[in-house]
Amino acid sequence: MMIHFCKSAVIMTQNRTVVDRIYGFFASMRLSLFLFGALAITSIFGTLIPQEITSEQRLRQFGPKLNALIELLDLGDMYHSWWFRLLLILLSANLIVCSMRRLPKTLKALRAGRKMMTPSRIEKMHLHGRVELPTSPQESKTLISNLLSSRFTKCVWQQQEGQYFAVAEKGRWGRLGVYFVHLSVLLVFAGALVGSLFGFRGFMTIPEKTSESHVHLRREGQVIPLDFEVRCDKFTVAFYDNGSPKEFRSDVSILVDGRVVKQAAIRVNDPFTFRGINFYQSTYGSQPTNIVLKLENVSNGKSQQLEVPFRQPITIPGSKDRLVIMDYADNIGNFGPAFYIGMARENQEPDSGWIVAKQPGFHGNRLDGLRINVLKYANSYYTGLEVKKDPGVWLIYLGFVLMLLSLIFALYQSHRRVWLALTPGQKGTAVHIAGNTNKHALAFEKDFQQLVHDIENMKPDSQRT
Amino acid sequence: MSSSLLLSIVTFTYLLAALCYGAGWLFRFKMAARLAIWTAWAGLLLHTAGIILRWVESYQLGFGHAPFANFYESLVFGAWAVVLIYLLTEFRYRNYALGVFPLGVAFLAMAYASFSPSVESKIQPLIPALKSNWLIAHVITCFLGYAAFAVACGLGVLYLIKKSRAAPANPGPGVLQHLPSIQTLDELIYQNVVFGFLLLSVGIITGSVWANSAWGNYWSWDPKETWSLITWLVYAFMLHSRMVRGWHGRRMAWLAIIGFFCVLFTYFGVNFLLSGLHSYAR
Repeated sequence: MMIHFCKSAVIMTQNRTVVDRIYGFFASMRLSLFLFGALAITSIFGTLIPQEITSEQRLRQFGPKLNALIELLDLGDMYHSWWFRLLLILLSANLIVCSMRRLPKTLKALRAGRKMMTPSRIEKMHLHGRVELPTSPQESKTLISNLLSSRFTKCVWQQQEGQYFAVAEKGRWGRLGVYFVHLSVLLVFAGALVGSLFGFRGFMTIPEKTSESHVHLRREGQVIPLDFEVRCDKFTVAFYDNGSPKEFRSDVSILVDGRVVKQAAIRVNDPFTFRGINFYQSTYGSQPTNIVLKLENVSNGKSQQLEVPFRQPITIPGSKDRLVIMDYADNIGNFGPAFYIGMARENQEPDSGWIVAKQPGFHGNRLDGLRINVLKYANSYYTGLEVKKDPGVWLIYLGFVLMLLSLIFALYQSHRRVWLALTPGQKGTAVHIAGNTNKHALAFEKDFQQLVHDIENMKPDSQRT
Repeated sequence: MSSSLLLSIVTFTYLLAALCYGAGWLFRFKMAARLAIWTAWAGLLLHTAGIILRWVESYQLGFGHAPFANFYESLVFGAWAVVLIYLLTEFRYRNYALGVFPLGVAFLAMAYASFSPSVESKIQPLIPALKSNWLIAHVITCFLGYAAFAVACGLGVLYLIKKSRAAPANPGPGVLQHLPSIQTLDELIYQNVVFGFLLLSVGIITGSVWANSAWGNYWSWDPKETWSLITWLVYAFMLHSRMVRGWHGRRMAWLAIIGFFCVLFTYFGVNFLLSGLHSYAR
């Protein structure tokens, strides 16, 4: 029976130590400091290794050996890697456990600090002083309490057998501010989590006069359909005299079931929101539209005209030949604007090449036995919009506001306390004073000495009343 | 008078102030120290006027904006912030021995901005990305923070010199005697770091809110953003180690120096060595 009991006790203590150890690990300041350091040092790698490039580009830049290492450690996209996320999760756990463990202690210390101190205890404090006053303890009490009430927000007196004790304090929030700073960091993390779980981030390219209702996600490569259409009515770019850009502006209409319900202008720094989805001016470009080609068969002289969309393969009518306009350039080898066309004719090898638009007689304007001329085309802008839905942003902003307010308290509000004991002395009253603060010790020391000095030189003007 | 002439005058006013501070400190020449203080305040006043004048001039050119938009303007504002933070510290702690360092730094920054051929000093119109009221809040808070960290770093160096030279029995060479006591230096480092940390936090937050309104992304791990976070983490490390674990003295001084190297890299290194959203700041 006895042995059995011991065994279970041992198991119990073992269990407790394991839990305690884990708890202690997460509550330790050492972990916080380690995480600050680890996050800072690993982040440096993230700024040295380009994050948004493809693995081929990285292979060219770093060579096979270094690239293999980078891929192994996920350094090419390290801020989204499992180990960087783990560091952030550890930091959150550390913040929560640390705060949970310290908050009760802080509250207890705040309460305990209201206990009175005897002269002998006061003399054991680091910062203390002693003053002899000619007035009686009771008169001294009245005088001193006037002095204290002008310098501290809260002052409590106690009387015991002709002796008076006091505690005065100021700035209790200085001790609690840090917990709100920690809470604000957690709010920001929570906002980021909500955003990544329930939001998306992608882009839309919309040529002028056309509409688009699909968002291409950057990271996942997915396409998200919207329940409305965005039509780009007009894109304008304005320049300063020195040639630098002045304004990028997209005039858009929102269409629901084909009907325009809203119109807006989207500029850089001036986004537009519809149904919780935000649109930001991001890029722009120009692309050819209304391209009309003339195809002439070199061997039999037959020709035909047709309008070809940009970057969409078509089958040439009356044949099984396929054609696609793959690219456009403003100026190719000083021959002017040109289209890069791919051609796959029946029973022939596929061919591709640049077709010069403004010089119809150019000898290179032929592919697979077809002479190709660009009869007409127009240039139009397309706008590139960043599209984002982020239901976590309000949490982030709440965290920001809380962080700034509580940082001010945590960094600048010092919790100052003085304890006094007034006992009958040789001249009248012996005043023992001790002081304590949680920050700005040097400034407090000066103020404390000033307080002691002021008590010593109090004018007993209350006698007149 | 044009703002660039005014700012050139400021450059030499700071040089004069730095020399006077040096003379006052090294030769215990009281008149020089007094002259230094007056010159430094006068320089700051002219500097403020110069920045405001440049602001006005940009409106006269037809594309008015706050003068915080390119590398030249950021150097000028950085120097202004360093002098302001130093003079406030000096005013509060009534010690005039330290002025040679911050005024020297301000002089060098101003001289580099005004006379280096690689720094474009013309007032340029704002590119669309910078057209926001957040620009002013973001730049002012960041640079005041950087300036406080710069002063903390200088104090950290002085702390280490004074600590290594002055054993309790040997008060050290004359020049060190006139520095504030070890305890005061330690406290001053801490005070400046606290102020810098608060301002850097505001700077990062305003930048984040701005990025969200311009690009829809409050944090994109752009190198400048990341380096400002690294800096923030270093100072968070410093504040926690002091508040909770009670670190003082040498360790604080070293952390103040390391932290300021991160600030310098965030400011210069990222612009010149890495690319990203802030590349217009070249």
